[in-house]
Parts: sequence; structure tokens; C-alpha cells
Amino acid sequence: MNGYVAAGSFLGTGVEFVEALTIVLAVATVKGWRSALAGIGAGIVLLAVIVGAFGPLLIRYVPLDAMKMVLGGLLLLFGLRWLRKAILRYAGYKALHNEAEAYEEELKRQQASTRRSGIDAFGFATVLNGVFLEGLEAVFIVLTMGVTAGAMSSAVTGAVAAVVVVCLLGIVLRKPLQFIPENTMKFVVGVMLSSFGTLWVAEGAGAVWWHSDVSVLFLMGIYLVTAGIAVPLLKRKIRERA
Amino acid sequence: MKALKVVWGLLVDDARLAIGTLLSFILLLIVSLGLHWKQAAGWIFVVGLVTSIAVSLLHEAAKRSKS
Repeated sequence: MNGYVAAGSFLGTGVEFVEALTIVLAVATVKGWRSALAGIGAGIVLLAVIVGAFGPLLIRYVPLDAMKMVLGGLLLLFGLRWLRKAILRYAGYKALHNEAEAYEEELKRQQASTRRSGIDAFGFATVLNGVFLEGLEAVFIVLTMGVTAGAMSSAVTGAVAAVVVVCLLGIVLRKPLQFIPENTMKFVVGVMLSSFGTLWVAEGAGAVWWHSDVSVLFLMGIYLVTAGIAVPLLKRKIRERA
Repeated sequence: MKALKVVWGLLVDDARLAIGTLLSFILLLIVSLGLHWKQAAGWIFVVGLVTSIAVSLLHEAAKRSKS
């Protein structure tokens, strides 16, 4: 079991499914659980097809160095995007994501459309779209981390554990999980993905890291320090403007 | 086409960061494969990436101060 990969996969998948759960709960409240569950089922089947189709193909046919460079590069772009967004959120340049607000918005959107008997097409499509799009980011994390680190089972275990935890919390609480520190989770995942992406891209290009994979800890430290410097600097710029 | 847009949106939401990352990658290839400075290549890549993040964030700050 690769702990880093499992943790990254758990956090990345968890944060995406917290957002998907908000959509599911809003649709289920207005359009009923039948439409919501049908949407979840269809979304999960689509995601499973993507993992089932691309995972084995990548592992079998793409050479490791090329995979490290290409998948590591995608992971790096994805991680840096999350890291940048998290820094901007902490600094007050972007609104913090709020699940309670997202839930109310979706509730209103669903209430504005007529409820149909049986499976409601609008509700079904909303859940399918939400689960698929949020899940796609999770699948991306699981595939790139799992394949590049050669630890697919760790990545899948982390992702499945996250889905189970989010589903259980949703079933028990029956409300959006706004108490989960989503922005902090996204920041942590951003740092992890950026660090692994950096490590693997450089390795794929032939670079030699000091003490090999241990360097990932230094990379995490560098990205954390970068964020630690950037947030107060950006906050100061806002204060100067005011 | 829509699927490509979705995938692109997953990876890039700021052109400066994406271009900076690409330039850092080119620098990595030059240092690692061209100059054979294998030990330094990774760290030079990191410096390029951190600079790209800084440029992207500073641009965002400048954009906000103008609006």
C-alpha cells in the first residue's frame, strides 16, 4: 500500500464527492430519491467505464518514462491549478466554496422546474452531470497517481474509501457537508499533486532527485512555503487597495 | 468537442500559469537532456514552476487592483 497515493486519492475524491453530494441531496429533496439514485447510478457507470477502459491500456502499452512525463505533466497542471485557486481563496480574491449556499441554489433551480412522475428527466440529468463532472476530476487523480506511481490498488482504495465515507455521512446526516473544510482539503491535494507531478515529470525527463522519492517531501515543503508567502502578500495588496 | 473543453478546463484556468509550466518543462529538457546536469535539472524545474505561480498570482492581483 502506497500511503501518499492512497491519501492523495482519498482527499481528492472526497472533496469532489462532497460537492456531488450537495447536488444529489437537492435533487432528491425536490424531485425524489428515484431520480437522484438513477442519476448517481448512470454517472458511476460512465466513470467506471472510463477507468476500466483507460487504466489497463495505459499500464500495458505506455512506457514508464513517457507515462511519468505525460501523466505527471497532467497531474502537475491539475495540481498547480488547485493550488493557485486555493491561494486566491485564502487571500480573499475568490469566494470560498460554501456547500450550504450551493445546496440552496440547486434547490431553487429544481423547484423552478415542473416535477414529473417516475424518473424526472431534469433531476436525473442534473445528478448525472454533477456526479460525472465531479467524478471525472476524481477519476483523473486516481488514474494519474495510480498509474504513474505503479500503485493503482492504493489509488483505488483511497478513492473508494472516500466515496464510502461521503455516502455514509450523506445518508446519516441528510444535509450538505458544509462542516468539511473543503478549501483546506483542496489546498492539501493541490500541494500533493503539484509535488508528485513535479517529481515524476522531472524523472521522466531524466532528472535525478536527491535521495530519489524522498525529494517529494522537500517539494511539498517548497509549495507550502510558496503558498505561505503568497497569501499574506496578496492580502496586503487588497488592504493597500482599500 | 465539449468533452475536450471539459478536460481542458480541468487542467488550465490561467494561461500564464500554463505557459510558465510549459517553459519550465522546456528548460528542464534542455538542462537534463541537453546539458546533462541531471542532479540540478529537477530543482531548476521547481524554480521555474514557483516563478510561474508567482507571475500568475501577481497578474491576478494587478487585474483586481485595476477593476
